Amino acid sequence: MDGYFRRHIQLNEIGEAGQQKLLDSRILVIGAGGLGCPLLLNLASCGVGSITVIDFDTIEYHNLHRQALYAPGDVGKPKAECAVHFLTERYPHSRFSSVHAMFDAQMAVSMVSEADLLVDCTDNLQVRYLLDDAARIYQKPWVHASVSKFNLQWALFRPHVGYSYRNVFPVPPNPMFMGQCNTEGIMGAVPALAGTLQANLVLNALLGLDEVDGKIFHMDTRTGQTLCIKYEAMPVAKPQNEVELLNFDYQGFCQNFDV
Amino acid sequence: MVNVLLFGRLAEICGQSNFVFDLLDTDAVCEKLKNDFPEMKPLSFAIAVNQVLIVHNTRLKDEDEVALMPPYSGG
Repeated sequence: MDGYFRRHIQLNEIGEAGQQKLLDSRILVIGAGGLGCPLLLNLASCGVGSITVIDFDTIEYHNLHRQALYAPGDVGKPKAECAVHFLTERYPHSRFSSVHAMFDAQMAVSMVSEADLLVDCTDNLQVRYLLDDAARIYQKPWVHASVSKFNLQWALFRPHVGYSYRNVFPVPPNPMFMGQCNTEGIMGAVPALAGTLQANLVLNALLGLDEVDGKIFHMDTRTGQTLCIKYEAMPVAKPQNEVELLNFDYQGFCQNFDV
Repeated sequence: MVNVLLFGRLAEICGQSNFVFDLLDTDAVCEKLKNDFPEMKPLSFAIAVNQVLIVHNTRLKDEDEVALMPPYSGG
């Protein structure tokens, strides 16, 4: 191994074996926007060996203030392809592939079992619940982050052993009352912070260094107040297998709320 | 007295991120906030007492901290 990862290898907790583990790891990153850009930079530079980037979206001019993989000349191009182009030029130790499509249950069935870990960098609740379920069915850890204005929350989930997003938020919120970056605005550095914290969880999980089962974190960046909320492992009823996953109505589930 | 922390949209609706209440349980905290701030009624959020998630109404004691955390969706 050349000197590129020397500062990683110096850590007793990583060493050459740990770095090799990262180089041998395969991850799926869903979303290459405000969270995905900093996450991908961190994971590619740290030598996560195989990274598949999935995003249905194209780059808009107002994305650039927080999505540092893209330049003004990229406006109108697919995010997944531009992200992979940027990373391939800079990070020779990793292999990248891009999928310019919306992540859905069919894609989960064909791609999740081949990955070691999944990352949700989307702003989409349907994708979040789908990923939580797919992670449980295929027994993969996944890393969550989401932001709102000046606040962020992030967590590592292992749904197959009971630590699931559905434990914390069993019912999706009414989308009418959910803030999104494109409607309420976002402080540019907040997703950068969240994506970097997410990347740190990914590295710890791939290396087996994490001690965050049953914890979800929240930070208010204006006050600096950080919470580490603990929760118990709990079983989730449905969907329980591939067929149920393919038949689960995520759109209906995420719009079926009580007001 | 219990210390109630609100985040995100909840804090915006209430105009502040912190309340001190003399209430017996978490249901009473939610009921008071929803009565005082009806805009909170359609919002869903996780409730933690002393940074432990609760799923049922939970009795509170003096100096407990109750945090109300909504899910976020920005990415």
